Amino acid sequence: MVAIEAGDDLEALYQTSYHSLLRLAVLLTGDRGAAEDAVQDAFVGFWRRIDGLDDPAAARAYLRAAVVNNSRSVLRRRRTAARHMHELAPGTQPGADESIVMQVRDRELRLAVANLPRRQREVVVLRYWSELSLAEVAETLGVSVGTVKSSASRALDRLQLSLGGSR
Amino acid sequence: MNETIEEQLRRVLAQSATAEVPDALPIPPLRQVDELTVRRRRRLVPVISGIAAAAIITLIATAALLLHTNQPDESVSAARAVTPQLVGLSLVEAEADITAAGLTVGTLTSVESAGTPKGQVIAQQPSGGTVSVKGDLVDLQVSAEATTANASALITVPDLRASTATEATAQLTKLYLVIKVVIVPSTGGKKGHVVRQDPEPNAKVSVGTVVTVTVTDPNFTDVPQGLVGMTYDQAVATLKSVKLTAIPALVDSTQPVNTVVGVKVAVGTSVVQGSPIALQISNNQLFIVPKLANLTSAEAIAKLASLGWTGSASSLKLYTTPTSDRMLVGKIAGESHTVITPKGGGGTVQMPGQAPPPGTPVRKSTSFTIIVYVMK
Repeated sequence: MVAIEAGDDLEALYQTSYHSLLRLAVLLTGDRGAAEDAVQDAFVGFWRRIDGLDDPAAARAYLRAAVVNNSRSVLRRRRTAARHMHELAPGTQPGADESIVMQVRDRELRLAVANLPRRQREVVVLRYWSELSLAEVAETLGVSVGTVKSSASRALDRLQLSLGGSR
Repeated sequence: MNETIEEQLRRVLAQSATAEVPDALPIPPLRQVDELTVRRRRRLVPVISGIAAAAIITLIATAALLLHTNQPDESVSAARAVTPQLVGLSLVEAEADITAAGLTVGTLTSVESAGTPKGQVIAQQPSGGTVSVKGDLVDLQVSAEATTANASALITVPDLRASTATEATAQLTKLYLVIKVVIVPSTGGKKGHVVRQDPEPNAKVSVGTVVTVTVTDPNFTDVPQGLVGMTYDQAVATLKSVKLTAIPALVDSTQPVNTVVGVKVAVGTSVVQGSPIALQISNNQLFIVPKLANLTSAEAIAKLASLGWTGSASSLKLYTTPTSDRMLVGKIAGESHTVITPKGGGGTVQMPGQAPPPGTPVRKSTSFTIIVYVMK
């Protein structure tokens, strides 16, 4: 049985997963336009493989991996890698009781994530935003769990260092 | 603040993600799924014998992989394609799998194979699992009945015009022909349909011949006619109906405010859906100079004001010329006269009765020069 069929089901999957995939792509590319391309391209690619994916969970995993891959290529295409996450909106404005220190630290962290090497940034976003397990991150990126572990560890060290502390 | 780096990361990433992509962000329509099979590479040689083809393809793939190895790791993975396992599939299924893998259907050879159903793939080159470069050819041997197609039999090319690329692919693969799709922006035909084919319908060709079909790109749209003269809102709606967006630019014009007075793209041009179309929108800052001859300067000011002129008596430069006709005294001259230059000194200059002249489009704040008759 094919659970994801062409047409209505694809549209439903698109509607339910669009925002989440676009957020993933935005965190990886730092560019909304590039992110939108990455998500649309993922669905077009998915359409072509639709017969081979009869499990909605597998469909989501496929789309997630496709968005990660496409984010790399649209970034290359648009040459926007330089303007990465530091251009992202800072998120909700902190209340009066939240300290300026916290705002500054958050800004530094966004910049530090933006300046991570590509794989480390992907691992950080998939692990701490998508909340994937190490095994799922490994599967999404097509690398071993060991590589994910070491990338995550190096990334955290680097982020900690750029915030002026040590882990 | 005892937040760990992990907790801070989760919070900051979540904030950035939802700030950039709020829940209320409208979801754009799913891009028209391009169901066309695009052949990215031209076939190098129409017919290559099995062994030679295998050798050449392997060489090309190896060379390309070696070349890519020297580039950053991400481009290598993007350029790789794993050849799917195709033996035992029908030709149509095999073609779909080849395309899905990012590869290109190569030479099809029809061979007699006892006990194998007609149209089933009995051999492939390269074999399943081979890592190739995207776009590379995968050659197939397809079983044929003893009496049907073999390399020397001729096949009649069907009429593919008005079919979709998918339909054309299905028709041709059934006949052991190879389709190559060329996409053109638009030639006025039905989007996504074949508008030309080569060879022509009813041509007799051999097995494996490439039939090139030209298909109009469903992602292209024609810039609609009649935008000039519409209000901006009407033009935006018209463009939106064909999936285009408007970019307004204000220009000086005599047309009412918000009227489209120009389009930066030639009408009928085909553009990719979603393209911005630059529209020139009137700011109504111009008006056409009326004829002022035979009016008094006060009447002239009133007439100009009624047309939107924003000047006043002080922006009207007045010269005089003598007349013996009592009826003309105080009125603006209809023709050129020699007047005394304003700075004095007795110099004279030939000037028209009014400047700028009637019929000229000018800014509403323009100054006017007029010559008024005085009694000799």
